[in-house]
Amino acid sequence: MRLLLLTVAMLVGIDLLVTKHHVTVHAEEVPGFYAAVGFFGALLIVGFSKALARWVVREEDYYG
Amino acid sequence: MVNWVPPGLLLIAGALLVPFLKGKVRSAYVLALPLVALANVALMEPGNHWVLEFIGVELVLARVDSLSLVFGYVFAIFAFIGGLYSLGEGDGHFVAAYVYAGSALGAVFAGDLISFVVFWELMLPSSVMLVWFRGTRESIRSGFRYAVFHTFGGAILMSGLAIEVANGGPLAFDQFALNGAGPVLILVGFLVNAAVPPLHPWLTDAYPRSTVAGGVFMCAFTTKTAVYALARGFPGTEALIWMGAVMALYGVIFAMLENDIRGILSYHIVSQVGYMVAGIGIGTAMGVNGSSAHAFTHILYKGLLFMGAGSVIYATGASKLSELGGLHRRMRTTMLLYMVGAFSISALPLFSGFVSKSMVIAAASEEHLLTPWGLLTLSSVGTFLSVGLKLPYFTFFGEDSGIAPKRVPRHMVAAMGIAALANVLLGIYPDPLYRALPSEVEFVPYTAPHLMETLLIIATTAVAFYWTRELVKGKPKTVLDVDWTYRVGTGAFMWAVRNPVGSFAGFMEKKLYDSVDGVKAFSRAASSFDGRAVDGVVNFVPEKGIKRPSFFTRWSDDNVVDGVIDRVSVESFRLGDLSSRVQAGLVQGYVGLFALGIVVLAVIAGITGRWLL
Amino acid sequence: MELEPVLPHLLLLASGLGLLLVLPFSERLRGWGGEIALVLVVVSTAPLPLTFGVEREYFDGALLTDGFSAFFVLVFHLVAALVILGSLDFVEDRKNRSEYYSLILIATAGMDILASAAELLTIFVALEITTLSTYALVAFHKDEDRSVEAAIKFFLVGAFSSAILLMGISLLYGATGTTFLDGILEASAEASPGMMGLGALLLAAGFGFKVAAVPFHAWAPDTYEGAPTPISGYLASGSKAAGFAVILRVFYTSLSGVSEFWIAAFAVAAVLTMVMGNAAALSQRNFKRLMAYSGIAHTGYVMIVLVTLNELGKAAAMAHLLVYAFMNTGPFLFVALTGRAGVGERIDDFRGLYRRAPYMALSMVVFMFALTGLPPTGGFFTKLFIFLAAVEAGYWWLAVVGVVMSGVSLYYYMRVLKFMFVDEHPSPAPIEPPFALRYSVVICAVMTLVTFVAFDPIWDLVVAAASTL
Repeated sequence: MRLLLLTVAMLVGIDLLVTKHHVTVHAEEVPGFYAAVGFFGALLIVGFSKALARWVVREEDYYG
Repeated sequence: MVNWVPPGLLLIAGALLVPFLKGKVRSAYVLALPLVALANVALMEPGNHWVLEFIGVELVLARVDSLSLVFGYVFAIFAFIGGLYSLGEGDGHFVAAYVYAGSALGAVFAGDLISFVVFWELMLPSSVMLVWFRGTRESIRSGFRYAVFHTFGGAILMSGLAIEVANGGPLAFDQFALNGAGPVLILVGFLVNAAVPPLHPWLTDAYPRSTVAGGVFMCAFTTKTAVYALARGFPGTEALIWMGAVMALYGVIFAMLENDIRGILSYHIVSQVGYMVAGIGIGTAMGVNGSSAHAFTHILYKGLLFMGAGSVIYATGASKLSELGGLHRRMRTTMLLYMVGAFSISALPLFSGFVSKSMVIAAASEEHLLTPWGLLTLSSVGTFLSVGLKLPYFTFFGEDSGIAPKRVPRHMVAAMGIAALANVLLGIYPDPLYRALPSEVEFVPYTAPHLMETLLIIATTAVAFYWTRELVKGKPKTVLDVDWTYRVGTGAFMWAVRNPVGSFAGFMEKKLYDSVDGVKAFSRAASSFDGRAVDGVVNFVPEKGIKRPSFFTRWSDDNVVDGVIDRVSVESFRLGDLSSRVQAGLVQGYVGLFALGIVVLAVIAGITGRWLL
Repeated sequence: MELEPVLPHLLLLASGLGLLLVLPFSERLRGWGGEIALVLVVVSTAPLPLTFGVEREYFDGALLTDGFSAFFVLVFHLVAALVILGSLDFVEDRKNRSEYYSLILIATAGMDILASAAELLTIFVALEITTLSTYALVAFHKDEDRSVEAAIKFFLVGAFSSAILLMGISLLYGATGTTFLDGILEASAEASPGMMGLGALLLAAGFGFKVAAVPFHAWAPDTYEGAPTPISGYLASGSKAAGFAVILRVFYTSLSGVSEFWIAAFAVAAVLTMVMGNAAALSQRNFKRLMAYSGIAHTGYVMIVLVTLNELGKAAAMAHLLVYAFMNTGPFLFVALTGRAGVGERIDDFRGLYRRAPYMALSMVVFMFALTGLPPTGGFFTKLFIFLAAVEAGYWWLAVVGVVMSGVSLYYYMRVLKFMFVDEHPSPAPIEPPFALRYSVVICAVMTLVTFVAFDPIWDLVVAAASTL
């Protein structure tokens, strides 16, 4: 785990050095923007699917 | 003169010979057949070939251009990989699989709507066999739902085509102008096969229940043929952008809830096809190129993933995350090859998805479609989350399930190896694929920002997964999707048929039963008339033994009227379903219906035709 | 009078009567009754290609021959030949089988005359020749309750419909002063609308019985279930084609002048027939009943063209009836075969038939695909063309109903296949199907496929035949 966090830090560091020419949104110019996308995106998807689960998840033999 | 045959027809015709071969010859034949088809694809030259005159219209069996060639190549290649993987299957399985693959090939090379529809429809019966060959109760029922759903889809498509052609539209299969009912119905027909929500449940319902090798074939052909059809018929349709973006995310979210490993992969077909649909909707050269390229790589990596998951199912007999776990030591090769597929679908650098998915996202970005771009980017996070992390983690690591897997046969490993190799090669050296795309576009996937972007997403998603992994682990539950509406809805319909309608019919039946007393009285009167008048006349004629008429009437009274009534009550209690209630077996009821029908129809015709009132 | 164009009619009628006179008195010939009947059908069909489409009139135009009649004569003879071939094994142990074959021949001759009749009373007489013969055929197993019950029901409803038909004829005669179809067409413009309208409707009801259109269909399931199975097939394919031959001739020509009088009723009846037939077929457990309802549904599809009244529709309906002769007779012969081999008629009796009789099971795949309207069978094109005709004439909603109902039909057709291929039989001993029945089933299956591959020449033939009406 610690290795993974170290990698993220390193990648964000490298990201500082990379210049971006074509950006879709201005936020992309912020170093480490995609780190946030990955992390919060994943949390968002997990959270959303958990919220959805209340409605769509039933017992295994639901259909009989 | 052309020195090749349409590869689709070749594969279909060749498939029919499989049952006549045995042993090694058969193995060699089933491997050679798709290769010969591939060689035929390679020999094709652009233009319309194999034009046949049929019922006064021109059938174009081979319309060769760059769009059809991209799909043709990958279909033929994958037919070979799938064939190798399914070497252990029976004759029927091979026939179904190759007819299925051949129909897909036939459809992408069909230049006119009639032969296109014939091949398109042929995919349904052949693919449903791949579900049914699994032979479990679940898969048989699911296959039925699949068949009925697709028949409706096919029916919608055909009505659209009928309207289009009847309105004087061309028979050639080219881009449709989206006006009027015809093209809309055609589009809906295509969307059914492309599994665009809410028309997708056939896929996520049937694919996880197909045979191990059947799933491999199915994941490649149906949706991708639909992607081809959309790219051919409806590029640049704005609605498709939104459908694609939404379905990309839809698949990702439902995949998080799934427990069945091929169920997860199936939802990711929905998601990945979303990228292709969106690319077609964008409709620029980059968009359609991206979709074609993504379809090409998707077949290779999704096939690999299904083969990997299939190997796990084959070896362990289990298909649910909650029953799997800790297999990494015992199924190392399978795991490594699966991970190649997982990295490809997650678009890691050096793997095939990287060079194609980014084209679609770049096309959205170029056209400043912010929301779709955001949705697609978010979906790619979710893709890695479930296919790259959740599925392998809970299958190969996690809690040890203690299952001792069977050995995976060598031909299955070889098929996975070939697919993995193809994915890596395309990831490293995508130029041949780019050159084959429909239009010429400069696209360089390996730029520093793009690399950074991907690596950052991957790394941080992994972090997020590490912290939430207990939340997302597979649970033995059922996920309800749109299929709920028809799986539970039909039950409600049948209940309504049996109960309110049925009891009304029962009431009517009793009324009829009562009224039969009147009929019997009439019959007795007739019998006495018969006995006196008719016999009287007949006896006048000097002929012996012609008392039959009165006998007949008595007999019909005793046997037919009573007999029928007894039979009816027995029948209707025994069967107790709607039909036997309406169809009560009472002949006087039939005549009554007849007469009533005449009156009703006369009123309808009389009023509309102005001869009655 | 030049007789060549009506030779098929005459030869078949003569054969039927001849068999009836000869067979009961010759023990030796009786053993070959079926084979002789088969040869006679083939012989009487032989003059057909020579005079195909030759137009001649007989009896002042009460009877005529044209491409349309020749086409239907071909269809009837095909069905008769298939049914006789399938019956060879089926009735071999029956004492009274000589009447059986001669009745089939006479019924078929009646259909031939029906297709050629251009006068209402001739039509009525021809219809009665056919129907009366089939009443007796349905009751052929006279020692079985089921068969007799089926015949009684068929007869009672049939008698009623004959009365209705006659009433319609007399109304039309009253309105126009003639019973000739062309005369009715000429006089219809000035005739009393009420009499014309009601007459047309009663005529339609009388014919509707023959083709089992809702609401005149109720006899069909019971009769098909109880009748000897090849006869069910004969009724379902041949009799239905005969009904449509006369409906097409009457309503496309002589009553087309007053089409607004009856067209709405036909549209309603077509929809009802499609919906009822398919819906009721869903819950059937007996295969013959299922096929009866499926036949009702197919009547509904063909009835679409009576609403569209266009050239494409006419040709499509004729082509459909031709393909139907194979794809619908086949399943009945199949169930005759399984019944002969001791397998029941219920759908779940077909469990595991794939292992027990693989070629028969594969033939059934062809039939079920064809009846659903899926390629690669002729049923695909003909159904598609019927729907195309509806769209062309602006009745796209009829096509939509037809398409949706075809989707429904897939379910019950596939259910049959599911039992045969997916479910296992507890004791899967191979079935040794009787020789002739097996061949008749295979011929039907092969021809169903051939009508797909060779649809081009068939369509040319049909269009040429249709254009003469």
